[in-house]
Amino acid sequence: MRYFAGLLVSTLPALLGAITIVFLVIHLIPGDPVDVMLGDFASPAAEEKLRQQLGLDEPVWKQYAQYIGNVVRGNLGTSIRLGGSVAGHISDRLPYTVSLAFAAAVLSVLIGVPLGIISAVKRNRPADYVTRTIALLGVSMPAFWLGLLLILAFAVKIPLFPVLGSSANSFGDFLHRLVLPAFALGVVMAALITRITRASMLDVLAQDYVRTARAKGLAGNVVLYRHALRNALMPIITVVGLNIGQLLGGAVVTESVFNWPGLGKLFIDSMYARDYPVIQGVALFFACAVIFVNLFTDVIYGLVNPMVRHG
Amino acid sequence: MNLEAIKINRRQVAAAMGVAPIVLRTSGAKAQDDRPLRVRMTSDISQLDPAAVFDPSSHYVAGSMYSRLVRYKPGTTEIEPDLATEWAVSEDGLEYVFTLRNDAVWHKGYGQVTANDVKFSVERHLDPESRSLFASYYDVLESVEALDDTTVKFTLKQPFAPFVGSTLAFRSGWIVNQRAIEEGGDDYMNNPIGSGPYQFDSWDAGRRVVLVANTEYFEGAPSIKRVEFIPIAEDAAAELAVMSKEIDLCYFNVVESYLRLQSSGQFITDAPIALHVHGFLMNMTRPPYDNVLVRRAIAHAIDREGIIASIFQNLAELPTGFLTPNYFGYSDNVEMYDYDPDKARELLAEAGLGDGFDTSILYNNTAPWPQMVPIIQANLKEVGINLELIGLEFAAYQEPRRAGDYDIIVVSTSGPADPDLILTEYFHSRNFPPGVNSSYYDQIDSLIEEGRLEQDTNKRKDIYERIQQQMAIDSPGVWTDWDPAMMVHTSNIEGHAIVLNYDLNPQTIRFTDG
Repeated sequence: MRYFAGLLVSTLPALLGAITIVFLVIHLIPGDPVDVMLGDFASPAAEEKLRQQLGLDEPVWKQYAQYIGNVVRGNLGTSIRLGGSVAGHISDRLPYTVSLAFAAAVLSVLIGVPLGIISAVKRNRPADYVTRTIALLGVSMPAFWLGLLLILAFAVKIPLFPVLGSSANSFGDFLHRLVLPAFALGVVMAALITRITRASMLDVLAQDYVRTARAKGLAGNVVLYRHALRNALMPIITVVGLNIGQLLGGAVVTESVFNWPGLGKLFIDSMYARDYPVIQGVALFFACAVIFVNLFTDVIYGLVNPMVRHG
Repeated sequence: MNLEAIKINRRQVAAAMGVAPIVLRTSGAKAQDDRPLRVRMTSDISQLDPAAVFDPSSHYVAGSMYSRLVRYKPGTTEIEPDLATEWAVSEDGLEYVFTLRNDAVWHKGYGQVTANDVKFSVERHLDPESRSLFASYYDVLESVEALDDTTVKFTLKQPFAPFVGSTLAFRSGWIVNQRAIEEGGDDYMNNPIGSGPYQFDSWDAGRRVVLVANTEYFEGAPSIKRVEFIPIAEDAAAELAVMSKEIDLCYFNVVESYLRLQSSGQFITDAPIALHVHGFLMNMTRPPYDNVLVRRAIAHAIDREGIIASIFQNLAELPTGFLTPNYFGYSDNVEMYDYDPDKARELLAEAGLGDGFDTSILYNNTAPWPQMVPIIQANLKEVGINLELIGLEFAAYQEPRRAGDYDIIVVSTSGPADPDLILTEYFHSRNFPPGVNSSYYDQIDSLIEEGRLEQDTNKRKDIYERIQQQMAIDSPGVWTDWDPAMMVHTSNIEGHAIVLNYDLNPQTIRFTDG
């Protein structure tokens, strides 16, 4: 328990660092939300009024201090572009991104682990070469490009899936619309998992205890799944956990291609409008997500491997 | 004051403005249908309060909800009555009296539209509290009075010829409901009230804006019962959404997307020249652009036909000037700069820059600039000018633009068909940066002001011809192309009039298979 409490406390400097970096970066890059909001023809008086109203006429350090103060009190501010609370917008979009990331993660495990096992078991045979080539392609393919190809193939040429993620009318429709973006986002991670699974399995299959198990006369599948795979899963879980951040980053691109109204799209749209509070809020949320998924990974790690738990 | 002196009706205005309708497909069919019409917007809306709408997406939606005293006839730049049935202008051009129709009602039971609403809407622009973007449009207004429920009188400080065709017919003329504005406060965006053909249903940020037909619309309930405006930023994604029939009506910025859909033969497409021009402006406060010879040399150095062929696949047209033929007062009786590198080199030599010089162009990352500036760079290289390309994302680009910190800057404009507004914004000295007179051009101030005061249509036209001629002589910028409004819609709708002045007019559209 103390171990976990310690872990939690140790995340605070990381969060503060993330907020500070995001705050500084977006305030240092050129571009002014007032310009974006009022367009080219606004009078200087109208601009000044809006700037005051948004608190953007204060020095940056003061804005920073206020922002940190607000965040500590649980207030992420109000969106400049959309109005309404930033927390509200995040919770509004969160289900989209979580479902997309979750579906992508599940898909990538479902694809990556079996392929990795096949590749390891059939090492240096044709099946291995084919799998490894697929994995290489998957890792090298930009998500937006794959997304467009998937739309072209499975929405336009063969109209199996809809294109616009934003137009769901029911839960079934929502799941239907989730397939292509989840696949586009999941493929890169699936490729990564394939490679890790293969390497990990090869490593484990060469261990003495596997040889012992085989020597005891256990069935091949039992050895493979109960003995080898369970141990090989460790690095796979780490990869999945560590890549949640990448998945969220990938979601920014994938969501734009599929018009998927999640946090990534909110982030991009806010970036173009220099909607500081939303950019900061989403970035803070992403940072929290990565940190907590890493914590969570540690926990799962412990469950899968008793050595960690007891050690 | 003899208000009967000049009675104006819609035909006279059209004739006076001398503008031709573009394309309007209509038919008498009246299919009732509950299917939504799904329209692509290039970005989410930012505002639905008429005092704050400036982007095309918000205009699409707001324009379908609000009425004006007068409007542009769909698909044309012709003025026709909207809330007003008729209007009269005093001989001295100082008083405008409008008679309102008595059957116009506000959405959602907010009562009848009255002259007081008009007064409130106009005065609101002048109230600093409203932070209206259009306060300056009403600088010329002395007073506005509601003479009775259906009569409203505007008194101007001085004659202002574009008052009807520009101020009242454009977005600055949308009429709002006082009670809705006051009740709504900061939350007005979630319950905007208009009196137009569609009323607000919902806005799901990032997903869609939904409008539903106003069954009490004074011209009769529109055929299509529900319109969904869906934001899709990328043309490539929009193209795929059109192909998979998830979008019914879409305008494109990227020619390739338009052409692919056109060549598929499955869609109805159209790409007429509208009110839009691309080009670049030279900063006349910076040498050598203070020298007209250099500006003319650059005009001769640019292969505009090459740009039109390669980037716009010849869908765009070669401009004669800043105004396209759809603007009132357009004239092609102007000096043109042919593509002639030899002539450009000669002019540079005459300006003492025979060895060329180094310069830069500031542009943003929206189409067509990333494609176009390398061509401009190559063209200028040919005459010895080394052009550095400074490309920035749009919000970042605004900083140097507003500071006047550039040698050459790209420009992309469109405005109401009366050219006063756009000429004032881009070429009157009162709009130097941070305004958009990015070339710091000040040679047509008095002509612009004269054009505003002149009440005689023909004399006014002459003034705009002189403006175009003067601009050609001074060459503050180079107009690379008049680009088309590239429209694609599914084959099962009809009645859509090409968007000019940003008005989408969904009320003219109907499904043909319903």
